[in-house]
Amino acid sequence: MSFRSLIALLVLFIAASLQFLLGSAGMFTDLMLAALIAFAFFFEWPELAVYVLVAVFMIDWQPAITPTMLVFAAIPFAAYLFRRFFAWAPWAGIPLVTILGFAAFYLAIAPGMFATAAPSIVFDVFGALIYGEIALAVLSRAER
Amino acid sequence: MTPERKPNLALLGVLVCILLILVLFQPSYGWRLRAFLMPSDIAVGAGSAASGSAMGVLMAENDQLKAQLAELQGIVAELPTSSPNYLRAMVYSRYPLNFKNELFVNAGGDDGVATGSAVLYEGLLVGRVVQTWPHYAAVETVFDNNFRLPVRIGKAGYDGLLTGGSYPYVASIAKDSPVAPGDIVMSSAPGVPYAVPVGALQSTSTSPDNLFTQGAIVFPYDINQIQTVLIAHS
Repeated sequence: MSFRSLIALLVLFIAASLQFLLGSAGMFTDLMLAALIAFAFFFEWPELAVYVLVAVFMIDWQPAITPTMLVFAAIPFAAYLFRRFFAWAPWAGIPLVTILGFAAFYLAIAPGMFATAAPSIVFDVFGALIYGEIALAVLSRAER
Repeated sequence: MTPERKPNLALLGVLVCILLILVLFQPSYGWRLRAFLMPSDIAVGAGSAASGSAMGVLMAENDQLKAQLAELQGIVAELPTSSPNYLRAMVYSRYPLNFKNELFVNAGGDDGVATGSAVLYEGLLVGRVVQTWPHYAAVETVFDNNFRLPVRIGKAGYDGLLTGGSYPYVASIAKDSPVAPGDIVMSSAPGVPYAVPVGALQSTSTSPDNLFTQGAIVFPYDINQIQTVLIAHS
């Protein structure tokens, strides 16, 4: 396990902690998914699978694998497939894939929320965009 | 962006297997990890919410008394002849994403909890059981977008439909019903004990289609701070 892997785990744990903290205050932003999307730009799929499973392990809230968790786990791998198109500029690719990933997440799980709870979706994506860029900056430094 | 070296596939494979086993067969370790990652004052914060917010307790008690008063004054004849039993359950975790507002509690089918069972906190209806496992159950709260519950309002018991969401409200109140802020909102649905208070009307307005009155509800508790609930069971 490399230094960058340890940093990635730290980024994921901080994302989880912040996400649970904000969630307990009624503000939901999926920072773990944002971190995983950023990881997709740095790691090969076997290592990405480990981070995805760590995230699912922490975030899965009931003793069953739900469609929500399956979609959650699939999005970072979709981002992994997209990363080749943004190899020249991950700082642009990560936000774009984050927006697309979150849109796909909401469309797959709760499409009605676009009509009924648009502001909370905007907050969710906004938080994810910020954290994704932070993860990019941290992992880029760890790569050097 | 490219990795500096090839990942150790054997190690990663072992890690993936261990994580899969944990996710599928030992999810409770994940909940403990969540509790560990959550700041301690939040993770065990129910006590502070319950004890620190004396006003909330008083408001809940006030809502209960209002509901009892309304119940006794207006609808005595409709009272059920038997009262349900309640089972105390601890809240294990909350749905961590934006899609739902659900609680996960440590009582399930083996304890007599059934889908549709009413869930109470401080005597107020906070949700209904939507899914059960032998030892666990998922509770859809009134703050979930999908939550719907027929309710009655005030002493006269005007009908309405509690509509869940970040800001729950009572919809479909007949326009000529003289409901007013402060009126108690109480359950009136099959499978849910009758006249359990949900909250109180905070304000009223005309529905967007101009056909009904609707009312915003004020709740004397913070759903994110609840740690124990009572579940009605057969």
